[in-house]
Formats: sequence, structure tokens, C-alpha cells
Amino acid sequence: MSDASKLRLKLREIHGNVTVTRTTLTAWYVLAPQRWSFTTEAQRKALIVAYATRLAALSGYRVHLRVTNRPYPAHQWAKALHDNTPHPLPGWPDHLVATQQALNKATLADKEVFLGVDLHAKRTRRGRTRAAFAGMEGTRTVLAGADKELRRLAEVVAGSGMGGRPARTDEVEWLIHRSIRLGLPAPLALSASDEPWSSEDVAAFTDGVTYQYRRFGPTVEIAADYNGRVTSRHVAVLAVGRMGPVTIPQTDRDPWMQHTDRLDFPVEWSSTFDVLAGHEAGKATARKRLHIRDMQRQYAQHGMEEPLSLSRKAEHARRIEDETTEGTPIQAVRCYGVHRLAVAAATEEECLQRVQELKDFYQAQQITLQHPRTLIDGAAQWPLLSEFVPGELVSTPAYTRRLAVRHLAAGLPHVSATVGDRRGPHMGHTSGTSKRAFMLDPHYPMERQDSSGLMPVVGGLGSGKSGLLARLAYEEVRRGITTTILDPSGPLANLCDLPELRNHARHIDLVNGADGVLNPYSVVGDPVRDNYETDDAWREACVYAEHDRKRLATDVVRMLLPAQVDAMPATPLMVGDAIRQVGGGRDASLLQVVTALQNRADGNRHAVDLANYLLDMAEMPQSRLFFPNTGRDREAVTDTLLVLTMNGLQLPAADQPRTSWSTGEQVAVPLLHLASHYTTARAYKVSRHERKMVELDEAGMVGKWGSGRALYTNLGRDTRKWNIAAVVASQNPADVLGLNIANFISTAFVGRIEDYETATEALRLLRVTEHAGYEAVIAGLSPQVAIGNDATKRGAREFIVKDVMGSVERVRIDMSHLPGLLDAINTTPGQAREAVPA
Amino acid sequence: MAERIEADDEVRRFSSVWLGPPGYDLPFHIRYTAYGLGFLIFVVILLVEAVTPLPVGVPPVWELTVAILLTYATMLAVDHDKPLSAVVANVVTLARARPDRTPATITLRPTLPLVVKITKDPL
Repeated sequence: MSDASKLRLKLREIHGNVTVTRTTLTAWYVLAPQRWSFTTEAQRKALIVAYATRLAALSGYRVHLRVTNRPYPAHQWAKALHDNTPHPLPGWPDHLVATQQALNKATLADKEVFLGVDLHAKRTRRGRTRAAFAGMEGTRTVLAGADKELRRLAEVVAGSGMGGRPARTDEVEWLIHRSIRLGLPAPLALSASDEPWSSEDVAAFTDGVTYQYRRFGPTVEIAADYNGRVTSRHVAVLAVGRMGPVTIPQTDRDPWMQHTDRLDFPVEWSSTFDVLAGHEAGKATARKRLHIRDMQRQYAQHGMEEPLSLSRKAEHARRIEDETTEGTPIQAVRCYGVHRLAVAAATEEECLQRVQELKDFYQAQQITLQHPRTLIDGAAQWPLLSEFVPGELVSTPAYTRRLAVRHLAAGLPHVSATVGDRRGPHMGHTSGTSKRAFMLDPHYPMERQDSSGLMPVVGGLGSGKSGLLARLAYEEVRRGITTTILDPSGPLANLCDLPELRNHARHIDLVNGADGVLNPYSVVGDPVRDNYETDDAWREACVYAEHDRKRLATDVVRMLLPAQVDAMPATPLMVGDAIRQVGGGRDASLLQVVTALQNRADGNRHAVDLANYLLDMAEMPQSRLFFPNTGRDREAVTDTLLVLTMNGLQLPAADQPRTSWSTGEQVAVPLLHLASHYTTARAYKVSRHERKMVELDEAGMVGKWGSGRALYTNLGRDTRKWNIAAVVASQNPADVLGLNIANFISTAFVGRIEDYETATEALRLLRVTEHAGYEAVIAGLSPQVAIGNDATKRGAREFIVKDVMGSVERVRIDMSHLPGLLDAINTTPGQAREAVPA
Repeated sequence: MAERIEADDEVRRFSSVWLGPPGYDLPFHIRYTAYGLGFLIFVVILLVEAVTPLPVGVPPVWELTVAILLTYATMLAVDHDKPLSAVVANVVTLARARPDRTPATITLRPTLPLVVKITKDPL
């Protein structure tokens, strides 16, 4: 037998953020998400204390907390991104659709936390409705009188720790819809009107919604009509039972009300509690203390040993009495009320599974969840479910929790993962305390924040750096943004083979390039006049370019010399003289530097030796790339994507001393330097205001030399002026920190690093407190996640990301909806690929 | 300095029982609430018997037995989390739930200002 009933709401009207029942007016506020991940203990404690202070300021009020969620508005995001992408590559709409589908499938929801406060102002006086207080007009009169109270509440809620604002009518409407249709699909659009809702309108909330339940049934089935299609969900309500102690600040646990964000299914919260000033709570405790005393006295009279817990409780009651009478508000204020959770699923069986999962999940936090349904449980499902709807009363005093305001505040329902700009391409989702969509537009810092756009990516071997670089570049290229990648090891070259990019991409293997392609004098390009406002500025840039060429040539020459020779005091002077003599022209070459050394007027023996060493190196096969200057301007690559690789380059290990470099390694280091310059030069050839991206791998090796550091400093500085999103990848965070580019960093990614010291440096990069236990988080990042039974390394890469706002979160880069890209970067590096010679 | 906070509920998590008059230990320990509830039920039974043609037993052995059993059953549900009022209210709620064999027709009013479109299923 089943009972079917339509929900009859107590709600009568909605005026702005105020919901109105026959007797009570409740003002609703939306709380701002608060940061929790990667914060220090002190910050966490400060957040809890601030939130508790705000709650304590509401003493005397009955407060409702409703945690619900809103499916990620994928269509709105897609429209905004499309509007922000003026020149996409062909196939862009298909890509947007695929991403939206992936977003919808991933059940990414934004958490919304509503706080309702029952106003002292009432619609009735002495329990009787007066004509003056009836109807819409009556409510307006009452609200006008309550103006002062509403303003005070708005001030309290807006304070730090809550960051709340009055809810808009459509948000209240949304909350009511969500509450009545718990677990059902969300309505896409609501009434756009800001007009107050009257009783008749309110009835519309329940139209077409039916609740079905069995008398002792463990769930309630909610069915609703969606344009002729009836959809139903089984919903179970749990009550928060016995709660263990909490420790403030919490280090090893999530806040207890936020904990549900970790689950794979959405959980709704509804708390209703009275915020009691200390003396009120004190009275209730004093009575209980007398009962304890009575029990203790009885045990004494009967010569029996009292239970140990009794004296503990007596002591606890004394402490509470002391706190409530003598303590500051934040110590004294108590919150007495009920906390319920609702979980929904398509079938009753699945719903009960989720109930069990939720119970087990909370047991680990020392919180017992009750799932009441029978006579003995003291509550039934159906009345409990109605409590979730704004305006409804608490159905039963069962499972009332009496908590100190700090204990309740430690629940922090509004803590959430906030990272990314929410306007850029979809990169994945947060994987720490909650699962939220992660969007990142590499140009957001330059275009909206007026800040720089350098993005370091660090992580150990196999941390998924290449995957991230590929993903970032892929999205940029599809948006039609000129992208240049230097990937010495080569796997990113596969991007050029993707069908959607093939016609707009070029792969150049620099090692097989033409003679002189990497000549230090030609890799630093001539500044383009159009990119400078005045002649003076342009001439200044030309002088700097000449200077950069000379510095680069100096470094290259010194890299080619044996370490011992380079260390001799005369060497820099001799090399400097020769470089000066050759000048900084674009047509100069290292061979001219050799000649200058040989032909010194004083015939210095050391200079001749240096020239001979250089000639020895010039005989190396790869030296042909940078010794001569072929003197002709190469054809400019106009493809959107250019991937530069250096097949077969033997780079020395990071910690290998220079004295033990092999000859091959000695040539490889200047090659990498020159290639880095070659890569960035392309960005400066594009119009200054146009978006562009540069990705450079092996930043650490380049940053060890002056010219390399200068390259990164210039790049960092220019990101803002030139709208360059510069991604700098390295295995070691110390290398990136050593580049002195901290001021230019917008977004930083850190992948899995197992070494503690290295992880500490990574935390410095993220500006997260070191030695606070987060090193272990970095070591625990999963490099690649297997999907289903697929044992191959596929799926998402996990990183810790710091965005331009300073938020730090753990994110998972999702590529499951881009199988082509996934296949491309999972191909074993070094496999035969046709490369176009430069 | 970490601060540990316990729920105030903990001080309520014991049963106030009567151990017996001083100097004499009762063989059973019953909560004060149960004495009150039992007495109430006993009186109600007597009243029911008084207004109906049922005979009032002297001494009222059956009445006492029924009252004790009913009290015992009710007190099984009552504890620190579920006060007597909640248990009684729950019994009333469950008793009042009316079976309805013809569920209400589910229709959306065409004039509704709500646009209900299903874009995705959140579950």
C-alpha cells in the first residue's frame, strides 16, 4: 500500500529575499564560497572563528542552513567562451559541443549555501492574523517596518567568514524548486520576474510534483512532470545523531558539513537551529546538571559506585555553565537544532546503498547518521523531507543537536573549491575537497587582471607534464591562437598529426634543420616597427635586441669551451673583446667570433687557444646549426601551431657537474638555449595585441645561464604587454624559482614530486606554507588514472594549481572526451614520425 | 593551540533513574519519565474503563499490567535523541498517513511561468 500526497506548502509569498508563511518571515542569504585547501592552520582557525562570530551575532534568531547544488551551466559557459573566441579554427563548434557534453556527463555541480533567518517581525500579533497584516499589502507593511532589522542582518551576514549577500528572488525560487524536487533534474530556466510571488504563484511550485511513500518506507519517491515525461527519484533523509568532539583548527579532517562534497553523488543539507545567547543555554544546562547531581547523590546514598561517565558529564556540564555565563559571545553562544541530510537516487536500492555509504563515510568522522523510519526511530521519512522546503517547520524534536557555536561553525558548509577563471576552456575538475569544473583561460590574467601570464609547470618524471602542455596548447590552437612549443624530447609533435589540427600545424625538428638555423645572431629577431608606438621605442628595442644577441653569443661560446678553460680569468675578457668586435648585427656569426679571436692585434696565445677550442667544437655535426650564418631570412611559419623538437639531443642530467659533460652534451646545452630563443622569437613576430602562446620545456637547463635567465625575465615581463601566455616546464621547481620570475607568475601547476625537499620548493612556487604536511599531498598526486579496467595509462593527470587570484586547489586534467589527443600524447616518444626539416 | 570542543549533548547522554528509597536498592532501575508515563497510561485506562461499559478491576491488576507493557514499549523508543514528545508525535504522524489508492493526476498548468527543460540529469 502506498500513500500519495501532494505537498501543501506553508509558504505563502516571496518578497525579494524574504519568504513568508502565515506567521513567519524568513530572510534568505547566499553565502560566499570560502577557501580551505592548502590554507594554514591559522587561516583555518581564523575562518572558523569569523564564521562563528557571525553566527553568534544572530543570537536570538532561528536560523536555517540549506546546502544545495546547481548543475554547471555548461551552455552559458560555452556561449561566453565562443563570444571570447573571435578567430577559432574550423571545427570549433563541434569541439564546444563535445566539451559541453563531457561537462554535463561529469555531474559537476556548483554548491550553493543559503542561510535563512526568521525575522523577529511577524505577520501576526498575539497569534491572530489582523487585517492589517494579511495579504501582499500586509506583508509589505510588515517588511517596511522590519527594514532596520533586515539591514542589520545583511550587515552581519556580509561579514568575513560568511561573505553573504541577500538572495535574489530567482535564487529563492531556485531553492524552493530544488527543495520540493529533491534529487530531480534541475529546471533550466525560472521565471525571470523580480515581482513578489503571491500565494497563487507559490502553488505553482508544487504543481505536477507528487510524493509517494509507504508507511514505514525507507525512502520517499518524488515524481515530477517534465513536459509530459514523468521522472522520479527515491529520496532518503538522514538525521545527524551523536557527534564526537571536533578540534579547532582542523588539520586532518574536512569541515563536517562540507565533507559530503567528496562523495560522488550530491547530498543536500538542511539545518534549522535556534541561536541561543549564553544565559539561555546556561539555564538548560543548569537543569541537566541538577539531574546529574541527583544521580550522583543517589549512588552515594546507596553505597554504589557511580558510572565513570557520570562524573565526566558533571565536569562537562560545569564547563558549559562556565562558558555560557562567563565566556565571550563566541564561547557562550549555543546552537540548538536539527541537521538533516538528503540523498537521492533513481531506484530505492541505489538510494539505500548511498545511505549506507554516507553513514560509513561519517562514521569515520565520529558522527553517527540516523536513517529514521519506524515507530521506534522517533521520526518518519516523509515529515523529515518536508523540512528541506523553505517555510516548513521542523517536524520532530528527535535528533536535536545542542552545539557550541564554534562546533557548528567548524562545519563550514560553504567551504568550496574555487580555482580557475570560469571563462576559459574546460581543463578538468577539482579533485580535492570537492569536484567542481576547472576552467582556465591563459590570457585571462593579461586581459582582465592586468597582470602577467607566465605559467610554470613543474613535476617529476611521469607526472603528466607533457599531457598538461598538450592540453593547454590544444585548446589555444583550436581557439585559433598562435602557439609555439619547444619540446626537445618530442612527444608533443604528435599534436600536429591530429586531424582537427593537421592543416594548421607544422612540426620542425631543429636537429635536422638547415645550417645556421639556430645561429645566436639570427634567433633573436629584429623588432617589428608596427609593434612600437614611437620610433624611439622601436630604436630602443633594436639596441636591446643587439645587446641580447651579443650576450647570447657570449654564453654560447662559453658553453662550448671546456669548463676549466671557461673558468680562467682571461677567458671572459678575450671572448668579450671578440664579441664586441663582431657586433650585434643579425648577419653576424660565431665563425666571425672565432676569426676575431685568431686575429687579435696583440696575437694573444690564450685567444688563439680559445679560437682553436671553438673550431674543434665546430667540427661536431650539430654545430652546423649555429656556427655559420646562412644569411638568408627563413620563410616565416604562419601555421597556428608550431612544434619544435630536437630529436636525439643528449642533455646532461640537472645535477651533473659541467666538468663531466660529454662532448655531445656540451653541444646540446647551447642548442637548447638557442632553440628557446628561436621559439620565443616567433611570439614577437605576431601583432602585439593578438593572443599567443609559447610553451618551453627544460626551463631549468636554460635558466642556469645569464642569457637564459634574461630570456625568461624578458618573456615574463612581456607577457602582459604582448598578451603572451608563456608556459615554462621544468622537473625541478628550484630551477623555476631561480629564474627570478616570481612576479610574473599568474598560474602555477605542480605535478607529482616524491622528494620532500623538492616538494617544499614546489610549495614555495604555489605560495603555500611549507612543512605543514602539504608535501605529502604533492607526493600523493596521481600521475595518470586508469579508466575502468583499462590498465593502460590513460585518463586524467592530477596537479596542484595556483591561479591568478591566489586560490590553490588540487585539479585533475580531464581528456577523456578528447580521445585523439589522449592517443597522441600517449604514443611512446621517439617512435618514427616524419619531421619537416627547418 | 588546538582547541577540542565536545557537543553539549554529551551531558544529556545518561538516564535519570530512581535507585530506590535510601537504604533500599530497587531490583530494577527505571527512568523517572517511565514512572510518569506509566501513571498517565494507567489513569487513561481507568478513565476509558469508567466511561465505557468495561468493568474496573479491584485491585486493577490487568489495568496495571497493560499500563506497564505499554510504558515498556514506549520507553524502548525514548532515549537522549528521541524525547517522549518526538516518539508520541511520530506515532501520530504515522497513524495519520492516509492511504490513497488513486494518486493525483500529474499535470503542469499550461499558464505556469516556469520553464522546465531537462538539460541534463544530475544523477
